[in-house]
Amino acid sequence: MAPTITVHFRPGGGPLSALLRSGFANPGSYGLTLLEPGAKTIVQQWTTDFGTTAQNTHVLGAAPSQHGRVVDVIASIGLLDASKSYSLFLTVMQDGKELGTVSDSDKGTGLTKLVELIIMLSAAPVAAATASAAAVRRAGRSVRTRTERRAEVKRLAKKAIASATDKRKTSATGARKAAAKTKRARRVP
Amino acid sequence: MTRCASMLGMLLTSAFVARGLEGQKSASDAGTAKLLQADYAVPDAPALKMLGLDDSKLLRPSSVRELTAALSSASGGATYLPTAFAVEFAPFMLRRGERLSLSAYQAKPFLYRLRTSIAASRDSGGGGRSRIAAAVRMSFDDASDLRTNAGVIASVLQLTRSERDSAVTVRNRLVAAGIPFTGPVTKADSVIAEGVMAAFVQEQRISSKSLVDVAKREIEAARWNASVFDAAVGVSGSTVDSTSRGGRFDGVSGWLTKGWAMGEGRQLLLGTRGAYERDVKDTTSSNLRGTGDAVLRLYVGSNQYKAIGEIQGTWRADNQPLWLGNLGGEFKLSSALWITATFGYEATGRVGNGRLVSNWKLKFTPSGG
Repeated sequence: MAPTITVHFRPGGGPLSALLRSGFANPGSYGLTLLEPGAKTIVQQWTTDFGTTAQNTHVLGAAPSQHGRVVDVIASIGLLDASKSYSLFLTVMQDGKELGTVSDSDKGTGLTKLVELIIMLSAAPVAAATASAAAVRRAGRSVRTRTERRAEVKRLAKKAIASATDKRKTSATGARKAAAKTKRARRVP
Repeated sequence: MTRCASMLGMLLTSAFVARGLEGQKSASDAGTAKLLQADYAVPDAPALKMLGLDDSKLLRPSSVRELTAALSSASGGATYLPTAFAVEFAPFMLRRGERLSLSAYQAKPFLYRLRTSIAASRDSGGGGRSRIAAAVRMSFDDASDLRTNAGVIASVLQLTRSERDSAVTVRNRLVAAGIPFTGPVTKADSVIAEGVMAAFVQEQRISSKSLVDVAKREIEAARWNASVFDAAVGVSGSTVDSTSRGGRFDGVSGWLTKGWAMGEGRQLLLGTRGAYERDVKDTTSSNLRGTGDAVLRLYVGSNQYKAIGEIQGTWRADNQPLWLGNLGGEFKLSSALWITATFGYEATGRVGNGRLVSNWKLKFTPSGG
């Protein structure tokens, strides 16, 4: 099974691009394939050799259309390192920022090594929060009195924010609890 | 199978080398030719050489994790010297190797070829001193470096392009057959995928075989008859016991090898070694003494067979110089079997006071890929 990760992107951000890198100064060639969700239809395919960063950066297209798509790379790496070490990195970028990297690194045998990496593209949870906020605004308009409308908007906004930052909040609470526990433990003579 | 082959290789090598050395001993009584041949070239791990340890103790980590594992396995505590330990690594390659691109390597090859070796040995029987050595090996010019050899890279890229194209074709066939490569796969899908893969393996075998042969030939050609310029310098010291007590400087050594590719099938090599060190085998004196070796060697032929002509000289303080002139050849009997035979003349002090010597050995090197 090829190493696979899911990368979240901002649908409102710039176009996505994929960057390929081969480590241990090994030469090689790769085929990068962008597939529709379900990986049964090819959107676009690039085949080239490892070279400079510019040569190995491929624009996948506008962000909104990338949700659910699959980025697949198959590389054949020449094992020129004396230890036959190899490494391959596939990075998805948006607006100059790295969104996620999947890699494979090991030692091979013989002259070459065939490696496959997969990235699943997904619209970021933040986008879901934005969608919830829009729902909040729509809900606000349907409430009759001004006070009621304000209270409803407040409630829904809190709910949307809470669900979007749920993970972060949980971990922060956990950290606070752990810190308090440590503090208490320190007080014990 | 490979294990059996390597065991057979070891048996063959030890048997024939022993016979070869016996033959040499009867002719020269002192084994001078062997001594000189061992000292002229820049060793792979100079620190190991300085302590006289054999290669079986050498670890070659290719990542920081492997290096730390090697160091931690060598000793239980930082102040204790291990019984026998040797490590050789390229520090810059170790630090950046995993993410190092070919173009970045080619921009500064000297930096990534720089190699460090550290070796230690403790006299477990008591009485002897615990010894440690550290050395740096530099490669200013190395035409045999596969990553900077345009011919090798071109042939390897031909091979990787062919493999990539085959694999991408398979991927496209699987996609066209409607077989998802992410998520669960049905039994029917597996059967189709296996058929596609079997066809791929067959195609791959036919298309890549000749390309593999071409790449292997290019790699062999790059390693033979290449221009090289290597240098190494190392220091050694010793302590009374394994806790680093009573530390003492034991010497400094330097090596220099320059090789010229002289057209098709000829290579001239100049190797020198100089040292100012204590002779650990000498039980009567522990003074620091100067030593030096030099050799000029000419190879003519190909990677399969070559003729060798050489002149060697060695100097030890308080001793008369030793001289050796040799003629011989190296022949590849099969893909894994080599025979080397030399006949020469050696002299101690004056060149006129010499005798004939001979040396031959059979080397078995099972191919590991």
